[in-house]
Amino acid sequence: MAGWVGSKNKLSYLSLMENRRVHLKKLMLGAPLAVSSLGWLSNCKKEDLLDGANFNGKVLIIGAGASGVYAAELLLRKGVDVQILEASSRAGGRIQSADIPGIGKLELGAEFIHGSRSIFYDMALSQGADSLMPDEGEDLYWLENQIRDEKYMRESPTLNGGGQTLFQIVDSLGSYPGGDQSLLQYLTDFPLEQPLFPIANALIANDYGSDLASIGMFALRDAEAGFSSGLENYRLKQSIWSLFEKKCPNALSKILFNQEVVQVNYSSSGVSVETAGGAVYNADRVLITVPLTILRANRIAFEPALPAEKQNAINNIKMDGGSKYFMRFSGPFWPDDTASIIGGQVIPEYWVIPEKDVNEAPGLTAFVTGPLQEQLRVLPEIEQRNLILAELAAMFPSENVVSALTSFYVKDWSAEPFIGGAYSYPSLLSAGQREPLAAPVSDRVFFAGEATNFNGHQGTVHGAMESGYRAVLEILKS
Amino acid sequence: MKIRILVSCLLLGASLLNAQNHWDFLGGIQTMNAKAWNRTIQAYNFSRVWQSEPMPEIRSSMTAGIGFNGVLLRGVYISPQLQYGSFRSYSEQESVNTLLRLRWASGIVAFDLFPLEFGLDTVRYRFRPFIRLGAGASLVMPRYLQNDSLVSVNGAVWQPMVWPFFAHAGLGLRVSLNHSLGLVLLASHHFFPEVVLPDYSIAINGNALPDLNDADRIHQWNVQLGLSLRLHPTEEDEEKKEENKKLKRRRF
Repeated sequence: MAGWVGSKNKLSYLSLMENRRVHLKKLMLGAPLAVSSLGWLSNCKKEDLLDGANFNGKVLIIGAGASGVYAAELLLRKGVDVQILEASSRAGGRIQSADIPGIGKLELGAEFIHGSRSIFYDMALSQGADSLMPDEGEDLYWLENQIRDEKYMRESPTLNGGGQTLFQIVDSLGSYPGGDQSLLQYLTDFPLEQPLFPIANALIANDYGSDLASIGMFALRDAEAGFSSGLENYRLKQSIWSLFEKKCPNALSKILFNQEVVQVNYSSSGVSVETAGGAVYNADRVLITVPLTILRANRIAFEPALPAEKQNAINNIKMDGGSKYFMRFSGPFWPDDTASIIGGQVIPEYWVIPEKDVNEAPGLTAFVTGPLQEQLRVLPEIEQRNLILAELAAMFPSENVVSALTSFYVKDWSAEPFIGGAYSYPSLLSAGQREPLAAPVSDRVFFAGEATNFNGHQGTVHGAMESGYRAVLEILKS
Repeated sequence: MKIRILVSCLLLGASLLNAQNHWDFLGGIQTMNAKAWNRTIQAYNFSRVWQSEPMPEIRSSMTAGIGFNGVLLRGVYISPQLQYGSFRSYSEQESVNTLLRLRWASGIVAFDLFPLEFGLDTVRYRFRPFIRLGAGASLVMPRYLQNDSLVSVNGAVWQPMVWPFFAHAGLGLRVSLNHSLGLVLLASHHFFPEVVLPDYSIAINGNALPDLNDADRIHQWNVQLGLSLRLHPTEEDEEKKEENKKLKRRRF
């Protein structure tokens, strides 16, 4: 396909031009190949999720809560041999669904799905969207010895704009710019109006698992900034643990109950676990998913001892007690469309029990954690009940709250022998400690559970599941 | 943005004034190597153990494009082009369907080099291979739907729009069917040093786990085939017409 030429006199010139064209062609043909080859060369590194995940030995999992059971299911689906050792006689940990006479079917522990972007939410959604109940309704506030709505909180002149300020503080906790101090000190120095402190305690501290004086600002900032699963809350129409039973069926068959682990020995050749009953189990890896209180109380001995950094993390992250009180009444004395009543001094937060059955009597759940819970739980149950009813009666003086009560049940999680509390919280000195808590030891001992979640989802079921997922990847790549 | 539009218009105008311009209407297929984004999909599939159908990784899409080709120098053409494709990953379970969709619109400014035509006085080829070198910018719009509803991240519907730049190189062939119509075949590579889809791992996987990255180095390989329309026949074409007419008269 040569070009048409005009005269023989131009032959030498054309010959020169022809050579130049040939060289230029070769250079130009190479240019796109050179550019593309950069792409190919940079593409050689393998980056698939399970690259290097070659482990196929045996794993012992200590604890049959959400993280332990979920991690077991992931490992079993990958063909890894798993055994779960549970100290108590039931699975679920801090998820406990029960049918209490006179009260009905309740979640005694974890009750909410926090946000719609989480493994837990997707697991619930797989049951059908109609199995999820959005947490809707209006929040009421106990303020100045009256029940107030959010509009009053934001606009009341008696609060000098303090209500609006409190909501702004809550929204901006993730970008807190100051030094580490307690949440109580921060609000005092702000200064927040004094009547709003019980509400701040309910909105922030009690939800996180303690009180204003125990929450540390650095750890709180990190938790707020990392929380990414979403702001909407949901409940399940079915029980939460039955969802785990349906979605993690293989794991449930691997649980051995009444096996309280007291000693973990680990070395390069594997791990050996001893129980209180004298049984010994051997494996290649062990995954510890027990509540933080068990580790803090040194109820499991490790040989060799855990590294200092790990032990510091265990000591610095706190986990306080928590109780849930369930009450049924002959009729509702709270306004229609009420979701929660916030700011009590006996109970920081009450919420309305959602109606799952038209035959159910209206009910309230009272939720308290931290030092308030510790003060309350030492009293006889009847005194605890009377204090709560007295507070509700003060909140709704025109209603006969006491005589309306038909049934009362308390779940004290501090009294659970193998749990001992509610969930870990962002305490002073705990900032940056969750990653060391989660870190594996000697590629043999791994850690999961809500306390090890360092992405802002500590204290939640989906946070526990995420930690199980993270630990499983570590084990598979060990 | 305004500067981009202005430059594009100037180039378009310059080309329209030239007799050698072509309009190209292209369709094809492109594949994409998105390791980090597919890693998040792998994490999703790994963690949702109850699902029977995994979410497919994003790999390829059909494309449509329009461009034109205007001569700058002998053997050197400028070739702006617009291209659109949509990568999809769809999975359906018993109660959940998920759709990840990456709409990808690209604007390219490239130089087409016809090495066989360098230094020649006239050109009369039916087959014209060329090399393309250039750069461009894309508009990338990822969306993730669960049960036909867009997901939200931190209280807001997740619908980011990002504008990454890329380098572009390719090999092509123009085939003249007649003086105004032709075919164009192009195989090209787009290299994006970095494309960041904000909160991608949270939107898809529901959490910001370690080892999941919202940023990815992207390689796209495109193969396109299209029609080429030459709007202004050249003097050579007119000469050829006259020659053909003479040949026809001589027969009779």
